[in-house]
Amino acid sequence: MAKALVIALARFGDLLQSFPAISDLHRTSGGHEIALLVPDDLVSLAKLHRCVDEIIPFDGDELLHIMRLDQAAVQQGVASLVPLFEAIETYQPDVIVNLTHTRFSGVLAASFPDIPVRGRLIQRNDDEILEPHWTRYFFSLLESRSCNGFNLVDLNRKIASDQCSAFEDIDISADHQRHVAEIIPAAAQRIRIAVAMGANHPLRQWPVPSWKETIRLLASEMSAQVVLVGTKSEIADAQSISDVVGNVVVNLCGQTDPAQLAAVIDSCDIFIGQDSGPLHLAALLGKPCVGLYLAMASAWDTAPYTSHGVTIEPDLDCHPCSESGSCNNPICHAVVTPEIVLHSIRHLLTEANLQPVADVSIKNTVFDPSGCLTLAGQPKKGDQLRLFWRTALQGLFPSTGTVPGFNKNVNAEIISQYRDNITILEKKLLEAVQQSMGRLQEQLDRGDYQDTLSSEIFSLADEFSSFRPLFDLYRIECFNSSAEYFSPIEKALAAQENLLQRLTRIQRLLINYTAIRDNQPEFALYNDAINA
Amino acid sequence: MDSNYFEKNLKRVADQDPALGDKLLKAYQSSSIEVKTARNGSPVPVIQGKALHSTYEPAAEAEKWFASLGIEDDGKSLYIVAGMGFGYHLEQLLKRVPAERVVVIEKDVSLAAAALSHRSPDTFQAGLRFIIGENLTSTLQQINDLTESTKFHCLVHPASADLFPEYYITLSGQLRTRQAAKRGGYKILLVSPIYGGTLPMTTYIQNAFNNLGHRCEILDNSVFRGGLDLINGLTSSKQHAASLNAGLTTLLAEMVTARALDLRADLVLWIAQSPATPEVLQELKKADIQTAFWFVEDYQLLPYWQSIALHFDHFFIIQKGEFEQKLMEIGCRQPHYLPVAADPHVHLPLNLSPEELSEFGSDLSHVGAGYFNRRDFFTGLLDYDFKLWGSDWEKSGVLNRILQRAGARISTEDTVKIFNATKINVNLHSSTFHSGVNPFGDFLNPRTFELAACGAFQLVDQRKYLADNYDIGSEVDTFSSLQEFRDKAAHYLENPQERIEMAEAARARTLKEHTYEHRMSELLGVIAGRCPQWEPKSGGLPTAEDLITEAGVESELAQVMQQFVGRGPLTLEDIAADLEKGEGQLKRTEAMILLLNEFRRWGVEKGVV
Repeated sequence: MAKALVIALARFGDLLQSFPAISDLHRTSGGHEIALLVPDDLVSLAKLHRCVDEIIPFDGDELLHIMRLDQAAVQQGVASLVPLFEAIETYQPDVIVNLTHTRFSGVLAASFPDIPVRGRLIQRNDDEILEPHWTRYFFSLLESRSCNGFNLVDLNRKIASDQCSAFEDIDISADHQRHVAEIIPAAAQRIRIAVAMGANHPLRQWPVPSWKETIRLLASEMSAQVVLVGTKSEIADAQSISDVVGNVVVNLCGQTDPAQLAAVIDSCDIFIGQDSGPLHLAALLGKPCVGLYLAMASAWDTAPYTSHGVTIEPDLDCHPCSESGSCNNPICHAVVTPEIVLHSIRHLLTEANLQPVADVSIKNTVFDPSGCLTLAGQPKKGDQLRLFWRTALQGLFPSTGTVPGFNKNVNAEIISQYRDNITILEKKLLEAVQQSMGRLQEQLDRGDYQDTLSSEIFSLADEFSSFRPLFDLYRIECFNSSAEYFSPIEKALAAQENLLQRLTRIQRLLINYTAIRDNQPEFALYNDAINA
Repeated sequence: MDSNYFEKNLKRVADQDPALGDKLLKAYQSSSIEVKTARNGSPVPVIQGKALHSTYEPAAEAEKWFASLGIEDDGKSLYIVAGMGFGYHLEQLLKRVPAERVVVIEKDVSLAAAALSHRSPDTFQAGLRFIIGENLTSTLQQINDLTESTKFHCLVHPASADLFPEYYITLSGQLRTRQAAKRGGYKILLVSPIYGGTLPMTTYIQNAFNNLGHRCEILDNSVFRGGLDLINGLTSSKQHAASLNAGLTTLLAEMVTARALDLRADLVLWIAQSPATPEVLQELKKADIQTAFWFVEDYQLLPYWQSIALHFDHFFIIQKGEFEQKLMEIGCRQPHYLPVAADPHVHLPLNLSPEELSEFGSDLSHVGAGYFNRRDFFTGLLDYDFKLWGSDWEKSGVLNRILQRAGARISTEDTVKIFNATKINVNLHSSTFHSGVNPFGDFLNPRTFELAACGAFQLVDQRKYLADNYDIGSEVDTFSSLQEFRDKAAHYLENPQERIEMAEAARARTLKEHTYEHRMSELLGVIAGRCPQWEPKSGGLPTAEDLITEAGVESELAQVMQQFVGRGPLTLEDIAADLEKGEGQLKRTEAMILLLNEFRRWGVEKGVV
């Protein structure tokens, strides 16, 4: 069996969102033994994954300490990295799969030049290679996130492997199950609901009074037993809630390590939380879960990776807001109400129809025929654009199980707009390429390999902003393409070729739209609410 | 004395700096500098019985001195001449360097005026720049402005330094530490106390060192607070308790040695109540680590200085005069006066919300502990809208009416809000002996500087050193009795604009002269000035040669560093930049260096390195 080193120097939730990719690497044909490189404080979380054979911890704090003391800490720094390098060299991986997207992990992946890499790789001279093409797509999202229709877990899976496998790989020990039975009082006949109130950014945080009211409703209207999970910083809020609501609330904030948290969530019937680590854990455990996506969180990006999920997000022009933004009036906190959360839970428990709600989009998480997660339910602004590009990219980067062409939920109006524009764009692009090609031979004769070709194309990006995902992908590829291109001009030429090919492909898909739509398997993205 | 000389010299100075011209003219008119005639007929000033030049051949002496410096001019460096004397040494420099690249510093305005009146305009050539009669902070600031991006040499006139060592030696030391900071700086281990009012100062001091370009780590002893409480409550036997306390002190002091050696610290700094033992100080001396203590306490109230001061290389204090004398009597050679300060990143003006103004605001307030004199004084202010904040106010009787949060400890964050929200902050220094204002109070508490830095208005009790730090009447106002306080409070409550103007002036003065960065610059300057050989050990940037020696010539790091030999001090960034540009497959150590640099970049971006 080949060996893979997976670099996952990420936070709690990000690491969980890499778990299915690890399963794919291990389980699909030609599967791998897995070593997982994680921050040392996430070792216990990494151990939950059944397919991980070896864990290599990285002590970032030690390196940080050295750097803080001495900006020229070459010798101490090198000495502190030796154990990490030795561990990787001893493991002798056949492939490195880099699922962390920082420059640090990119440079680390390049530190072992004989080992092929999937994901980000940064070599000398800032020579960046992003393979496979889904990695390049991932980085293009920094600009065109509002057009993204792929869940981060699916992107990780596409980057890690060409095939998908089933995912049921979290290991909960009998000891932990027993421990849970000891710390949560038995409450026969009651539904047990796990609630994680915390968010990783204050703007994403649904207000505590809203949580308090939700929990009060769960206790009074559903007779539920509520288990509060979270970090130490949430203890006081959790206590204030349990003081008000009473002994049906079990406050476990700050009391669980990742393995215990998994066992606690597993013992519950349903999970509610914000876009956070515990939500992703609940999803991977197969628990029905409700996720709240406020401020910069977007359900399309990070919905719980399960077919038993409901996402709630504001349908406001400002949502999702920018990662770097600030907000003095987070109305997204107010439009989501405890009653909406309760309605979503009832839907999950009883399969009652989701009712449309003003200013809020509630959706179910479902897997499409290609095995990728998507959302179905009350649409919000921008959904059509995401759906268009989701299906366009599936057409451009086909993989096993992909349904070719645009599916029926992309509405005809959008298709028609794109069909009109793409012809004009293609014509202008070809003109621009021809002009730049005229200069090319002269430039190469001078021995100049710098890119001067892409400026004409960049100027078209503003004019044809609805094609932004394609241009952003092009922009990424001009600088960071696959290993076979070396000079800037080679990269630019390859990027141009890709752009033109992709445009032609989309054009063909658009022309054949009706035929393909009619031949598609039955697969409704939206339920009745949308059609009404 | 030749009045023609003075007029011509003064005109030259005044043309460049009219304010300095006025200052020199005034000093000239009231000058009482003694001037002797040397054997060769040259004038030589004598101050406090000391001649500032040779009384035989001043010019020949200056020539010898200059030759001993071994200076090779590179045609662009700036020269700072610290100590003007009568300029014989300056003439030597001006033979080799144009006047435009020379800055002359003189602490004593009278001496400078005398020099201008006794020496011909040929000595003080056109183009020279002068910094005369300024305090250390202002002088340093002006030099920093002049030398921001210029290489410079500081030439200290020995006789001037002998006359005003705390000025010239400290100044030259500060300039040296500034240059060291550009090469990576000193590594400083700051030992915190286990608890007490000085604990927050550790963070301010650390930030100050780091902002100055050095690297400071706190050895945080506050984590032992629980242990100390446990020990103290463990037994009713005083003997046992003392023995356990001594054991804890020994342990904490040993931790200092362990950390300082591991860190390869250049300096270990203790502040009030931080644990230290003579044995540990000896160990550190052996390792060539400077040791310093900042005794931010009232020496009369806390006499533990008697048993420790002698063992430190440098002892910094907040009281002058008698205390300095007593320290020297017990063998502490050079105590240095260093008042406390404010951290302008923490103590700053705030825009408070209406809710915060309502919670923290009042006509009068005081944040502090319930000392005897405060209890007495504040009882006379109960008819005001007065809020009393802070701890140790148990059994305070009628004061309970105004005590906020039931005497809970107030966080620094809330303290700053209270300072900002209060119309008149009552700053009464503590005393356990006197009722009301201590008539003998000398040093200033941190609150004086912190209130000023916040741009908050304060009435402060009269203190001996207050006028050295703030202008009384325009930057702060004082009181010496309850009645005086009440009269002034009534006045300032009726005149808010006066409060605002005074508080703004006090803030400006604080930012200019009284931040922890000023203090730590002075502290390092004192040490560097006294110890000319004190240079950063591992704290400074290493050369490739250093790294090769440290790693061993056979190591892969040594092989990688060969290409950097002769390049002088190197940052990690320098090394990585060259490796990044290279071609071919990276060696393992090269890959690690690139990775380290990437980690550093990330840390800088996130603000954690």
